Amino acid sequence: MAYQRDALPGFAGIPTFFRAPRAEFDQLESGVVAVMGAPHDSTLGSRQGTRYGPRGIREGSLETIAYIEAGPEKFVTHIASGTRMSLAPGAPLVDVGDLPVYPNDLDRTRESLRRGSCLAATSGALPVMFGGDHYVTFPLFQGVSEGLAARGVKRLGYIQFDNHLDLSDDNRIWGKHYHGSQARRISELPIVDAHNMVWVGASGYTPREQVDWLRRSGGTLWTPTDIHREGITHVVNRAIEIASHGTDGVYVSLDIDVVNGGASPGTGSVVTDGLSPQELIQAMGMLAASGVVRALDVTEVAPPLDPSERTIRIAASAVLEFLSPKIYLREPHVVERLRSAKETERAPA
Amino acid sequence: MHQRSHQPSFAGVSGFLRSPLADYADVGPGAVTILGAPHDTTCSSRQGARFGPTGIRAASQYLGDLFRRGDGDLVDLATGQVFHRPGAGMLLDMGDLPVQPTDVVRTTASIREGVAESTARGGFPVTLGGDHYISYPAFLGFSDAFCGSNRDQRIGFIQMDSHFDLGDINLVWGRYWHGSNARRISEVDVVNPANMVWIGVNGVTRGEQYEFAKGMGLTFFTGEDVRQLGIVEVVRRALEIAGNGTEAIYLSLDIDVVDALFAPGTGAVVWGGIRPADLLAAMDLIGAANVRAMDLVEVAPNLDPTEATARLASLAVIHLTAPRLFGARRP
Repeated sequence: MAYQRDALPGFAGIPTFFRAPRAEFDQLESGVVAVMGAPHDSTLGSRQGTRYGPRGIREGSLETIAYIEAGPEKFVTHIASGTRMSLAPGAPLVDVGDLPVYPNDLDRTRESLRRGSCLAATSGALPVMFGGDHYVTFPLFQGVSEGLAARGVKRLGYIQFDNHLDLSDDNRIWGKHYHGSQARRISELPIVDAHNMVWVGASGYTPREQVDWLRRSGGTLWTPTDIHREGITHVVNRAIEIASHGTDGVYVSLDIDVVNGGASPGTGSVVTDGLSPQELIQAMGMLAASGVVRALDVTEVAPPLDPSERTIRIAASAVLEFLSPKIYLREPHVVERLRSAKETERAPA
Repeated sequence: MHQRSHQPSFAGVSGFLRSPLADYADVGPGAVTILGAPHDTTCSSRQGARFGPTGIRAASQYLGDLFRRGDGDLVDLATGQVFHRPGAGMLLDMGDLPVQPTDVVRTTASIREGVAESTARGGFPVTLGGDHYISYPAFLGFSDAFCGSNRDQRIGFIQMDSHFDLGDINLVWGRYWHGSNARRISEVDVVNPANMVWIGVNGVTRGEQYEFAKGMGLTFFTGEDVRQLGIVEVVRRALEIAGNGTEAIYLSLDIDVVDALFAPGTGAVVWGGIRPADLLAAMDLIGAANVRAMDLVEVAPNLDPTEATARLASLAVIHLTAPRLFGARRP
């Protein structure tokens, strides 16, 4: 008798993101979401461990998919809205695994990440990339922008959800390439205009040079205080407007330390002010609905620093919310329909 | 007026074993100089060796007052060794050497220069890693200053480690990482591979490294050899081989030579290493021989919340340097 595979609980199995099938780059095509890892953290100035980020975020996604797969009817219901969510047919999500990294050879690592993200973007797939420390965003952005340029994109906007600006130009210890300089390096690429660059959630002490650069070059920043005052909905709407103004799409870079450290301690920096997980999820939903996002990365998730494992789950939830329109089929739940039918019956003629 | 006084081990700001932070100009002949090399970007296993120097310094404080400010001599009950309080300037903490985590070439030069400077002034360099790669630049710095232009001199080499670190080229890490340091040292002109000895190696290694060790005439005693022969006999043989025709012995101690049961705070998880008591006995024996420099690597304090690993590491330094530092001698 042939061995029969079955749905697995979240803690079992070999984890790809959301149990997506493994794929190679030459299988990617337009309409597909291509998940890939960039497990590089030797350009990290704070506490270590983000090299385990891709593996961690993949693991953090498994409970949700197990919940859907193991149910008799293969759907879940979003309680607040009553929306019934099942997996969209056609499985547009694939996991291409981790890109090669060479921890003590930054040039080779940069080239590898750049090539991987470029291949994905060139194919027309939507790259969803997991770091790694935040430096990976530079080569990943570079690759994505080159791939998109081949598909006719002339200008690309940039939104960075982060507790930090990462606008360092040069550093005596780290030089020009590390997890505090990637946004500055991105700003130097011809496909980007600083007026389309937005920072959401940066706070704390920053070298004055970075703040001056931001003011001088026309980038936009919302601090957590701004967000608490103006509301996440307003801020993200404005961020999308600014980043997409005159561009052909937006690259979104999410540093998990944008979330308050009390909620997500599994990251190098210890952050005392930031978004709540709910605000982050809401922002991800809005970005998905905007339709302008051409690539997403999630960085600085360091699973060894959070034995409670909630950081990997927050990161995975943010990604799933962002992918939600593509991977889920949504329809009003049948109970909801019954109730409205009853209400119609009771309604006075 | 505020009077400084003795402090409990958890208080105070100071260098290794409560030594003062010093400048190279303070280094005189015979001084034991502590140099931190908090570099771990060439580490392929679990991270945290960059916190090694800080962790080992902190772990040494519980003995600091005992050794440096006690009222009289100390006696090691296990060996009967008598420890005198060290004279001023005999133990100096040089702080940490500059490292550039993404630039292994600059970091190599920095560690090499710091160790050379300390050696040239007559110091006994104790380089605290960092991952095991730092052993290579530390050795280079020591041999630069010790041999100078006299390249006919020979330096013997003892590595206590669960691993050979004899990798030549690695597809991920290239030529310079914490698996190639001993191979690079074997290529230095003042090293004769016949004077290179490993103590405690165990587990599996790449065939290429094993064949290199055998082919080049290197000597190795496995963890099992230590159990069979006893640490005293193994170290006696090791010192004979490393000391044969050499002017000095360099000791490289990877804390993962100790079984992970006792020293979990390190990247590699190893189940065939030696016991702490064997490690300290080896330090006593090697310290009494013609050892002129050491490094202590791969202590990752973050991986051991019990702090036992960092404490054992600090004890290893004390035992090795005891003859110089405390005039320690068997009664």
